[in-house]
Amino acid sequence: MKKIFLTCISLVILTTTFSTDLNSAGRPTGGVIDNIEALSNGENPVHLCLYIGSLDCPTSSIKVMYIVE
Amino acid sequence: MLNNTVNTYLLIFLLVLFSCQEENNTDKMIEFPKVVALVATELRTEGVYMRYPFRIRIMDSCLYAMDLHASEYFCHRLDYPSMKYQRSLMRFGRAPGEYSDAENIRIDRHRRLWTLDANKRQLMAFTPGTDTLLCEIKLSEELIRPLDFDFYDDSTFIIPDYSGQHRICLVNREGEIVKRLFSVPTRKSHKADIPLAQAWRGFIDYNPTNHLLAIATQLGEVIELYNLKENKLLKVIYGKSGEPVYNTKEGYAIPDGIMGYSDVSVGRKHIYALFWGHTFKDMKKGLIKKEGGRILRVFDLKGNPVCQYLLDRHVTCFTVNEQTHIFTALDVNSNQPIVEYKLE
Repeated sequence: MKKIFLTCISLVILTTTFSTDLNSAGRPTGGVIDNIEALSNGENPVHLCLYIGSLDCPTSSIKVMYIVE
Repeated sequence: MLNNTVNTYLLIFLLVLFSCQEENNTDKMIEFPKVVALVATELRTEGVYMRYPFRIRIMDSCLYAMDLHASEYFCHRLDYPSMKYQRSLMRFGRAPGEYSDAENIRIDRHRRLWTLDANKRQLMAFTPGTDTLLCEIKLSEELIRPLDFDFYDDSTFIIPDYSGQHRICLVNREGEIVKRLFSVPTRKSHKADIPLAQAWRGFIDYNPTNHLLAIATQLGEVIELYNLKENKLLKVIYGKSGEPVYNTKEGYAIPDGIMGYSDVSVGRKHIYALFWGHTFKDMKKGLIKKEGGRILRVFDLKGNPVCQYLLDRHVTCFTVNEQTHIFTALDVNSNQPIVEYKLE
């Protein structure tokens, strides 16, 4: 009984781990973002608009490659 | 007996847990019956430099190319197909008569070139032939930020809604909204607000011949088809990446997921859409080396997949001649950006 119970708990933990969205969207990774020279988007601390691209930066009048928090 | 009861409850608990996973996109992935690889022919030109070519239009012997990040002029006119440079227009700047932005260019049935400056919130038309400024239409502040436009008829424009509460606005020649239509077709429980509209930012194209409006999302993998004569949503075409993914921070949408479509065209026979598919994860890691998409998707007028073309270059936009089957595009990664493909 104890064995079955422990097995079930282990399955639950494993299932939860692999079901969780591991997407670290919005957070810089790998040090790449840290080394990028950002386009000027004022002193707005909400997000950073980087490089030239086609995304509409919501707080500036430019189009950028990506927007990060 | 107690052991059996406990085991039963545990089993039920596990079954409930497994069924309560985050909803995945279970829509059928778009499957194209035909996939064709194409190789471009470069149309070499001199005297034109564009930092980020983003829109191209051709009418008869006249080709206009628009630069999204102009350093001098937003728009350039060339003779087609000789590619001889004619002139540049829409000077970049903040002085009177200059422009700070160009979202799109279109040629109306009177052969006038139109363009949209989202920062000034105005539409401009230029005289055919001379390309001198003909008129400016100041758009209503209620549009908030107009990011695309097309002609509904001679006196009305279609502009995507930025409030999140509708999908498109019909705007008259005075720049006033006369009608707001449809809503963002999200299947998630998102609030109908500006971040929703930002995330679902779509590129539009309308064909008055068949009354079809197509909207292709810049994030995610969604194409919406509307019939504006019957005022109804015909179909939403989902790709495997599904609808746009985003986070909301301080009232703004922070994109996530993938870069989707960057151009769409409704022809007389087919609907064409240019797809990128870059993930923001890969972009942050520096794995994406080129801007633009290499996948041209073709649908029939009911939204059924017909053919998928795999291009040998990354392009940002296109124009299609359905009679000659010539597909002309702009490669933002090349010093000679104007390229053509022959569609099979």
